[in-house]
Amino acid sequence: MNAKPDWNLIFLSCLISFCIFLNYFFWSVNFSQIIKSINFFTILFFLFYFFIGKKFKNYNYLRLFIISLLILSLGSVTVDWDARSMWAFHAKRIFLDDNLYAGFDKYMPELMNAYPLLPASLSATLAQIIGHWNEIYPKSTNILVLLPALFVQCSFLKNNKSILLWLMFVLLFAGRALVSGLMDGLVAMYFVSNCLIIYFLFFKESSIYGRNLQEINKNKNILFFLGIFCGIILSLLKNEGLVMVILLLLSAFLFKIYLKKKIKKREIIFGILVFIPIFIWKLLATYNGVYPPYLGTGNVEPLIGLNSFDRIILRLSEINNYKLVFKYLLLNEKFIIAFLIFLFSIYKSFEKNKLIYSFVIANALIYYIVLYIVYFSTPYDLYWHLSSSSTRVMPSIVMILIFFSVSTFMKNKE
Amino acid sequence: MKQKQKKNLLFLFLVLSICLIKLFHIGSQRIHFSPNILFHSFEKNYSDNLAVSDIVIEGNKLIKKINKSNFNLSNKLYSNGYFKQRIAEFSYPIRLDANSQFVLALSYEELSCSVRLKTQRLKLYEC
Repeated sequence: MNAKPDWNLIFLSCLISFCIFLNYFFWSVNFSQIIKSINFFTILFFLFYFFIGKKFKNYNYLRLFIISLLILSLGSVTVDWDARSMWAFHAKRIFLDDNLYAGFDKYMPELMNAYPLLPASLSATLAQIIGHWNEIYPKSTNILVLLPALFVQCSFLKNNKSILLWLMFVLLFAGRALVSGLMDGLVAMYFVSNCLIIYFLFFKESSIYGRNLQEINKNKNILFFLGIFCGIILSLLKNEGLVMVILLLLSAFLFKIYLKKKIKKREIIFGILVFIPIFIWKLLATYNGVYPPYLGTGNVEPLIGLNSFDRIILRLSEINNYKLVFKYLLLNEKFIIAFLIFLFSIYKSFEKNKLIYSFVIANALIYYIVLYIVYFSTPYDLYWHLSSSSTRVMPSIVMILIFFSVSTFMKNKE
Repeated sequence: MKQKQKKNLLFLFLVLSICLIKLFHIGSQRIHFSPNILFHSFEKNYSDNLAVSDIVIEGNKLIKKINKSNFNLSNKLYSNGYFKQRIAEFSYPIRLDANSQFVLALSYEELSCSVRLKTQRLKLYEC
């Protein structure tokens, strides 16, 4: 991971992620529809520029990939339970009530009114432009939200072969989640991109940024702002996203301390800026009395009345719970494949990429442990919760293992 | 050199084939892609019947006809998780409200209220 990334694509990614954040910001302060629409068309313009710009002529596979996802998304109705009940419904509410905070009235609390709504706000903007709601097009804006993450990854992969290989794995392991209106594919992709950006921001010296001081400063600033916007987007996708951002930043600071590297002021500012929008959202949700049900007491026998900690203790004492959790989190076929690919890549190229592998392993492992804690403390029936959500949360670990395998292994082969 | 080119071509062919197969798999098996939906993707109410079941669309039509801002469900319909969630989403901005005087019920359910509208499977009572 030493070759220079494509800074043109990174810059474009930075602009798109900024516009996506702006759309959310415009909704949060209730700006007029015209401004939101102009911002939406700016995103479309950047996408169009990517398709026709000479600077991006080497990304034909990526262009095809984006078109394929858009066609699939626009050629299917929203049927998945979570995609409808949580994301599409909240987008519909934002659109019809013309208010990002529509969910704070606590209508249908089982539909997770406390969840952050960045992608839903982009769907609502498109619905305002179209003028009516339907069950097809609103989810297609998820592909626009995906663009910055995808661009960052491909800009670091650089050669066409590795881009194609990576896109194949994205299709295999997260393809459906990206086009069906679910957030889990986006969370997985942003987890990878944020890990990549934070690693380069915190641990890479000037050599990848350019030849002269001016170029180095310019590219450093681009990556800094891209990191902020991608971090904000990840934290506003889903609660899992917030956990991931915390993990990534925490591990980056701990690695710095372990490596006896100085923590720069810039990095602390980065960490603070990333959390401001999600902090405001959580503050407003709490102020309005909207909480995630996860924080409540158990709602199935024998967990009724137990808090999270008591639920963990109770479940840890039952051997069948271990079997169940291992079945869904360890014997997941995607996870096994990704793990084997990652092991192979470590075996082939660990020496040259010690730091990045250690950073990826640390983050993937901590997130994996967090999943165990989450499932052991769930207020719902453990079997029901695992069977309904484990296949959706595993792609985050799968994608991070595969991306760094592909990028380091292919670079080593050259 | 030639061997390297051959290897590259083989790699390309293999990876592109897998991508194509997976795209077709997602389209046909996982999300039920249809060109008709694609060409009408921005049309109002297009393919609503594919997104929710017929009984939800039927219920939605009844609710819309009375032109009120809220409705309620009979105990039987309320306990049907699928119906409750889908009718609440699909009918929004008309809200599911436990205090509403307009109650949607299955056609064979008898409530001590007057029937305002009915279809083959559903009745809308005013209580």
